[in-house]
Amino acid sequence: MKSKKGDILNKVVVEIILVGILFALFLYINADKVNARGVRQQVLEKQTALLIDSAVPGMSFEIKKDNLNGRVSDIKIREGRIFVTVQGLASLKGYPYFSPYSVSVKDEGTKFVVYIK
Amino acid sequence: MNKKAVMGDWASLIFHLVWVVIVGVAVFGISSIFYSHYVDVRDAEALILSKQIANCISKEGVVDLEKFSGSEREILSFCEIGNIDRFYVSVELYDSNRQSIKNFSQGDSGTLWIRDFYEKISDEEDQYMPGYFEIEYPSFVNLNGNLFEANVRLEVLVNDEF
Repeated sequence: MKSKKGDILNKVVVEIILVGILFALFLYINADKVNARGVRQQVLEKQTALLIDSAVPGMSFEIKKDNLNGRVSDIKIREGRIFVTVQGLASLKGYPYFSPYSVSVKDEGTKFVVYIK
Repeated sequence: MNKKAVMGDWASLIFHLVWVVIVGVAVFGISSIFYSHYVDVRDAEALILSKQIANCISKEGVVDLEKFSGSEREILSFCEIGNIDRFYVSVELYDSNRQSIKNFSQGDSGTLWIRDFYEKISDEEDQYMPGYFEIEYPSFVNLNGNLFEANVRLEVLVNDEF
């Protein structure tokens, strides 16, 4: 009898632990949405793309790493798209710009500088 | 306790966990839809694109039609605009009698028919359409060496980026 009670208790404990792990996993996946990292990334990518689109050759602009939208750790330009990594959230799709000019990004310590040539 | 009973206990545990996963995916999946937010910059893009096209076609206020021969349906490519899949651009040149001189365009006019449809059935003027920008401005046109005044009507439509 005692052994049966112990088995039921073990099963309940294992189930609680597994359910806890599953919900922690779900919460972790949704945390990006809740803390709006994705929205901040979207804002930064679109703002940068609009600045690139409206710039003329010879212009450059700076994006501080300690940005209002979070810590910007990386900015990449690839195939006409801008990819911004905000608070560790890497960009998968990026955002397209349509500027006919050549665009490059340089990491200068505390800031990124975008050059339009 | 026999082996069958133990197996049955663990089978029911797995069954419970499968249910928890289904409920979890449903709850978090639906809630994540409401948390997602789309920042719409199509109006700004349409405005910037129209400026770029205007600068491209009428440099220093003169539209040189000889330059565009063969590019009537590739105006975006002619102006070296990148990522053109989302754009529709139409440029129409009118003389002072509102007679059409030339038309350039490129892209998928896509949702423009919805605007036309609403304009027909609605009494309201100036229906708002995200990503749509229209401007008309005076310019000179150079046609076979003849320079004359004309109006340029520029229409830009930026579609969604998903």
